[in-house]
Amino acid sequence: MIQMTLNDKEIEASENSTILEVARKNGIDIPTLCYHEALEPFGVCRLCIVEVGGALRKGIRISCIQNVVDGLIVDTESERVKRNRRFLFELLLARSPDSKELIDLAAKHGVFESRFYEADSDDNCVRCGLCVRVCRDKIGAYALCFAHRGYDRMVTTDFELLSEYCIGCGTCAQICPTGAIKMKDEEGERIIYTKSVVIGKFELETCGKCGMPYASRKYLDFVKRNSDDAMAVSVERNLCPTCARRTGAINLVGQMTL
Amino acid sequence: MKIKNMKDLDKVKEIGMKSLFPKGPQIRISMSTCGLALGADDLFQKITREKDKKGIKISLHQTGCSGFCNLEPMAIVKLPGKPALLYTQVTVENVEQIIRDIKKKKIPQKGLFCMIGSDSAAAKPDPVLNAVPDYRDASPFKGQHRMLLGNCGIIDPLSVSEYVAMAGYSGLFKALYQMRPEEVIKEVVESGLRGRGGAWFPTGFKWDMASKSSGDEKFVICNADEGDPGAYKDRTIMEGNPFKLFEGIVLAGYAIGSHHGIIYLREEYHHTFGFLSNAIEIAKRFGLLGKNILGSGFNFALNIVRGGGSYVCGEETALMDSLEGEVGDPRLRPPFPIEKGLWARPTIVNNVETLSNVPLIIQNGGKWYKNIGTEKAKGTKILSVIGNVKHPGLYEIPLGTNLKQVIFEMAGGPVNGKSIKAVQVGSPFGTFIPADKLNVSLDPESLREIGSMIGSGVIVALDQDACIVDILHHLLTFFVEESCGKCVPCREGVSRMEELMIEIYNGRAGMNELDIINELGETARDFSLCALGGGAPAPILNGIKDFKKDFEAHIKTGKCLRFS
Amino acid sequence: MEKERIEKIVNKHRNEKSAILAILHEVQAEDNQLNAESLKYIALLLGVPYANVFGLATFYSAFNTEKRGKTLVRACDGISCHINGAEEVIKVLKSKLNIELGETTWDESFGLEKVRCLGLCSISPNVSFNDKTYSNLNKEKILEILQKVTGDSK
Ligand SMILES: Cc1cc2nc3c(=O)[nH]c(=O)nc-3n(C[C@H](O)[C@H](O)[C@H](O)COP(=O)(O)O)c2cc1C
Ligand code: SF4
Ligand code: SF4
Ligand code: FES
Ligand code: FES
Repeated sequence: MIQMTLNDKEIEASENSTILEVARKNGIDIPTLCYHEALEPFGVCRLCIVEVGGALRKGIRISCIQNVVDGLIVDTESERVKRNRRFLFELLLARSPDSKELIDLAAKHGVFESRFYEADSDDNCVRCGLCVRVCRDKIGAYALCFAHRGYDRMVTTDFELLSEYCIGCGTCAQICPTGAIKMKDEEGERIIYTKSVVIGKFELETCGKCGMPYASRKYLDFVKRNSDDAMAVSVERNLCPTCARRTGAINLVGQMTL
Repeated sequence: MKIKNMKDLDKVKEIGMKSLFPKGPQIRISMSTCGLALGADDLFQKITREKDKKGIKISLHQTGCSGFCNLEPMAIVKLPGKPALLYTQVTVENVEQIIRDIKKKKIPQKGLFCMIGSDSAAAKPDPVLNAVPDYRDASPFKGQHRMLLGNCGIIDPLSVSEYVAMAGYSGLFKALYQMRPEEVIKEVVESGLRGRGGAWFPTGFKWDMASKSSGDEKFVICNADEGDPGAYKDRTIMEGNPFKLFEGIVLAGYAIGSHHGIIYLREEYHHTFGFLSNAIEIAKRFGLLGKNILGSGFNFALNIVRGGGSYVCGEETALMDSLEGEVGDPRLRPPFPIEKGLWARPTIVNNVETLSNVPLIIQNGGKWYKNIGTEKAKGTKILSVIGNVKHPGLYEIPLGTNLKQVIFEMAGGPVNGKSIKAVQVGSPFGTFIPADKLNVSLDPESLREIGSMIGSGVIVALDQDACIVDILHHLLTFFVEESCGKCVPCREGVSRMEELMIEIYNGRAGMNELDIINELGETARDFSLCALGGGAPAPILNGIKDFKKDFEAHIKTGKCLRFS
Repeated sequence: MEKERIEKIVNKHRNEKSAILAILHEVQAEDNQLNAESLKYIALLLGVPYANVFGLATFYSAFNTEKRGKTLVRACDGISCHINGAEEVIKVLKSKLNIELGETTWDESFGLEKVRCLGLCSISPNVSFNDKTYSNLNKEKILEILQKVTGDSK
């Protein structure tokens, strides 16, 4: 354990944790877009900036990357932090003016408008990379990638066509912080898509108990391959999450995603 | 033949001396990328045909570029008993006369520029030469300290023996036979050598840390991405004296305990790629790369990887991603490359110019090297002086040389009686220094003091007709096109700066927008993930501050000073 | 491109470190493009995901997923070329070839690209036509060269 100061309060924290983790544990809200506790830090949205001093050289740090040290002083809402965070929010809002999630997050941090609105932009993606990383690092499917570079960088599938690798788990849609990837289950079919590309399209298997369509074949195969025997048996029984919970079986879909 | 011991090395040296100081007449044509662009190929063929036609024996060689492409095609003519003579802007039309003169043992006059090594033993005075300056006194070579470029444009870059004759490989030989790796590092630390790729990090310190990192494998990466527009010093070294670079790379490998080196080469350098590949094969044949180098038992493999045409891949962590077959995005640090670099192995990344200094340091000692330069920055720096000066080109100067002297004396100052308006040192990230502040020492510390930087040494001179708004707009377009797009401040912020700059350029925006550019610039400078987004704002913010008039003209009239 | 050709190239580089960049360069050079079929086959042979090669092919400016002109015209717009009049030269190229930067002529004989320094800054502006570079250009010179080159290619 180490001693540190967080927004003027003396606290204890465990070493090997980041400033962001410590702050959240202490109920302090730092905005993030590219951070997820299940993934390695990526450090690209820069919203999580904080001002430090004390044991570390005075200045701004990226709180999702910087570890705490004994004697650290952290200010998550200094003038400098707020001013620059506002700029970052404005820049993001300019390109994703329709993302309800982003608008809400910005509003929560006092930013209600942007000076940079881009004409007709309907791109909700903030290039946080959560979808690409979760698909690659956690699911292992590698259906998504970043293509092009700079301002044109975008999330897409291989060759911008229906992905041959997507298994239809929907984790990308679930993790996306701005609603840029969507998943729709309709009439026994699931589609996962962004505004420019359909990532996956699957016929859904129906639940052995209630008859509800609930998961793609490819995904169930994936769960079976990647789980122990007990779980694999439940896959054979073909239960949707609700029925699984009701019968006390393991909630596969919930377990395998995040 | 493989060089396995001192005797072999001496033998090769002797061959090299013979080829550099031949008994019969000799012509050398500079055939680098620039020479070729200006017709060196035709020239070479014409000379071959002409000498055969006239039936005289002339040995014909190729050389590299000396850094002054505007003087190409260059030729060196060596007549028995006379010093080597350098000719510039030689054309196919001159060839017949040259060959006729050589046949008559006469010194060809047309295009004669200077003598090379007039004091060498072989030279006999010739009245024709009385008015011809030596290389060291002839502008634009005058005032330079060409320890890296000295052989470029003179020796045959693919001849191991000529390089050895110029003391090449004596450093590596000494290291492999008489020094332990720690001692090599000690010399480099002592020399005070710092990285020439832009960041000026102490090289010896980097090597020391990498040598202490543990790993089953380590890598030496030579950064030959040469991405700064306006720079071509690395190309000139690689095409003019590749074995010196290889020697430096092997020394780095020996020092940190690595057996594998990679040259990451700029995609646009097509000719250089073929040329270097060839040079590597030759070095292998001589036992200077590969197994059992110089017979010492030390193994080191070297190969070249061509980049894909992306500026940010010159950034060392993006470069490693690129080598690993990924998109070239900069990585978060830590971990640092010296601990976990290429394929998570300890890795050092060094610039071509940095590595080319190392053979000299080992050969002559760190103490010797330390005598050149300033208190904190040792050695020479190759500057690429471009823009509105009489003699654009590469100037190798001792660190601490005055900027004014470089622009006005060495590079000849502005053209057509115009005046210099500003100079950007360390382009693209350096700031524009107004004409009245050019009295500054060229070294990282002095430049930092005035808010600028030396970077990789690209110096852009602008004369009175240039408009800063136009140049800043040009730079911003470059940054936007080359941003990898990973982090928000650079991807979104610098793009907005460019957008606003275009509005200002066209007179559609005013002071308010300038303020926003300033603020955006601060955010990008302070919060970008890598030094591209972090460095881009400096010239912009300073330009806005120091060249208000140019901005006023655009804002008021929508017209560029350039066209008025 | 034919599968056998791709196999040959992949096998040649397979054991190199950083094989993929070398392979993409070679296929691009031979076929003037990296289309979906070629990329998929390369990925398959190397055992890397499609998304990975697609990301590479679109990130690096040396690679094109669509057919590129037989003669690739690369006009330098680095700082030195810019100061010495690259704008004018590029304007002529665009209007004479009747394409924008990044485009290919309808008959696929020319592609036009901007590069950010060819390393010949003291003889700028520069433009390269495949492996032949022309230097010290201005409006008149580039017109002359274009005339020669377009004449040759017909
Ligand atoms: C955007 C960017 C581009 C860079 N391009 C190059 C380059 O082309 N060549 C180079 O040697 N270093 C380049 N660098 C610097 C490298 O990251 C690194 O500092 C250098 O290669 C280390 O070698 P040195 O210590 O010998 O200078 C670049 C850095 C950045 C941020
Ligand atoms: S689609 Fe969503 S998760 Fe993926 S990069 Fe864009 S914003 Fe992030
Ligand atoms: S600063 Fe620019 S180039 Fe560097 S990581 Fe961020 S987006 Fe990429
Ligand atoms: S959450 Fe830290 S940079 Fe995005
Ligand atoms: S700027 Fe055009 S060749 Fe360097």
